[in-house]
Amino acid sequence: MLKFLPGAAALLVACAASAQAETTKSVAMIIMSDTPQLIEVRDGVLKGLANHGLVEGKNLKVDFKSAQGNFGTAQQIVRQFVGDHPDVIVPITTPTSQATVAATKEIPIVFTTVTDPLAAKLVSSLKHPGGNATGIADVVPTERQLEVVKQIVPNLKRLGLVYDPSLDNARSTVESVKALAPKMGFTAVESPAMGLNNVPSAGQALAGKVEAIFVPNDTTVYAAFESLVKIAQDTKTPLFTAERRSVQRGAVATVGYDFFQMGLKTADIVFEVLNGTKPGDIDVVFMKDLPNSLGLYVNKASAEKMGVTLPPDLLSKAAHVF
Amino acid sequence: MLLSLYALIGAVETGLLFALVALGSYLTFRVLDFPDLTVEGSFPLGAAVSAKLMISGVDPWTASLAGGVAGYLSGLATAFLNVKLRILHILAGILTAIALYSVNLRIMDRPNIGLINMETVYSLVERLGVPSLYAPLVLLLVVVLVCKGLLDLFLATGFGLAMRAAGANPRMAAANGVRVNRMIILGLAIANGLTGLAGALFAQMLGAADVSMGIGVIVVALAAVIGGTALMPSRAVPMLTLACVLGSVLYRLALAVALNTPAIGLTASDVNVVTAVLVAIALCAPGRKFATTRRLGLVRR
Repeated sequence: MLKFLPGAAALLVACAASAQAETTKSVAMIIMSDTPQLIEVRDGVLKGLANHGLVEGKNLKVDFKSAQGNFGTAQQIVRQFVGDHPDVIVPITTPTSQATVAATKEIPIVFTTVTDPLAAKLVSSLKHPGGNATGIADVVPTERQLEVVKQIVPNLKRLGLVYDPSLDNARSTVESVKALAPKMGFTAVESPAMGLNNVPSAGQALAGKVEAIFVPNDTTVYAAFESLVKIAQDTKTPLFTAERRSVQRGAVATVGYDFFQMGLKTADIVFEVLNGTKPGDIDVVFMKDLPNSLGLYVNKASAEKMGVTLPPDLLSKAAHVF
Repeated sequence: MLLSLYALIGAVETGLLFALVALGSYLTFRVLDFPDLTVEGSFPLGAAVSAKLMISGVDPWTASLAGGVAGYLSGLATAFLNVKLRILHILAGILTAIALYSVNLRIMDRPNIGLINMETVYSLVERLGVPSLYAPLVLLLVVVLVCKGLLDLFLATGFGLAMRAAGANPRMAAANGVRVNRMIILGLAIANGLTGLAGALFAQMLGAADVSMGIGVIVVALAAVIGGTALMPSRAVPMLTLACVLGSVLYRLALAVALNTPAIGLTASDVNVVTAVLVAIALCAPGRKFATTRRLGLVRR
């Protein structure tokens, strides 16, 4: 190995020199698993950078990798990124962001789709985080989502929650639903689904016990979402979610972020960093604080199949009716 | 074109870390002939226990050892299911791993504990004057060599020989006075102790303990054991354990090259199937030879 090291070091220097010679910028992106929402974030980032004049293959080099759910692989991808020394690393979701922040103190990091950057220890403060990382926090607008549930299901007494307890994002949403429940006049009925295969049974367990079902921002449940839609239709229990795409796939309604939009916002920060601003000087951006980041999405056909009618005033406010 | 220094060191580090799991899997899979799937749960268990202790103010060394102890106990649980309740070995491991998923969530109280900017075993090694780039490498090399050495020594004792006999031919071993069940219990405990320690050390490297960390651990460990011993066939235990360590490192290097060389056309998304194919090839072809080798090794002693 000793023989190999100087060679590798020389290679590194050569790479650095060639990168300087050209004017292309390089961005490395990593996702933990190939979830449609996360792919949308990536597409948003690329579109956003293109809007800023950085086009992949022209003046932008993009290295995008998925760890396929394997943490060892994630760790190695991050190490490879650090060795390649791109201009910015964009980790998507919490675990990859933690691996990246732990691996480098020099390369600028713009994380995205992270619910709580403070708890995840990605930054030490949300304003002027210092260090080499900043990014986007997608704290879920849970109260707004629950208000919509109440509007569509006025007799709501018990709200079923189908979620995967191993997901940080999902858990924190469930906690906030439980905290909001007394104030909003319903009780929360939890039905945890550990892994994809348990989603249908978690849905069935709620049949007849609740007036509506709510799914937090949960990649596991969304991966098996159609099964839940079927159960909701069969049992005439309206199904609500925390994310837009799932409304297209059969949920009744949500107030949510557009993951593509989140990618666009991420690209804005990436662009700032590429232009020389230090990540430590850029405040962490909360999606919910951004204008027009939230939209009401409803699915009329699904509502009918699940036995509810959408109030006309709600329909008129919808950003999109599927 | 191949690898940056950083990616190279990262691959070797990760390889050494998973070599601890591979050593454990060598003990269960090869020595005891017990396909133990507990590791998918004991790996995140070690991470969870150490992370929880670390954020509660316990020093990283103690926390890492506690992770190993927790892994040891989880091995006992699988052994109990198999030996006392007579549940099929592979199912016993699966049951424990599934149960540990809930246990890990309880221990951590949430799915993910961040450990970034905390004192870790690696930062403590850095303080001893090791450059930060090499600190994990140095520490893991020492830990792996110590564990490998202890395992070699153990398997050379009378007790260790009895354990190998229990795996090679349980009936014959029992007829010669070896308490086979006791060997399975201890072997599983040691193997998962190593895995728990690996989980604790991995969490500190990754900057977080996450409840999903165990996914794919068993296949990677088996790939190291099978690949390593296929590349370095031997009858001597110290050579076989060395083969496991090298197998683990080589696996990571191969993965790093594949990740870094778009020309090959492999991406991280293909890794799982490539690993499975490698393990399957190694498992089917020289499988019989291994069994006889092991028996011969015993006869020679």
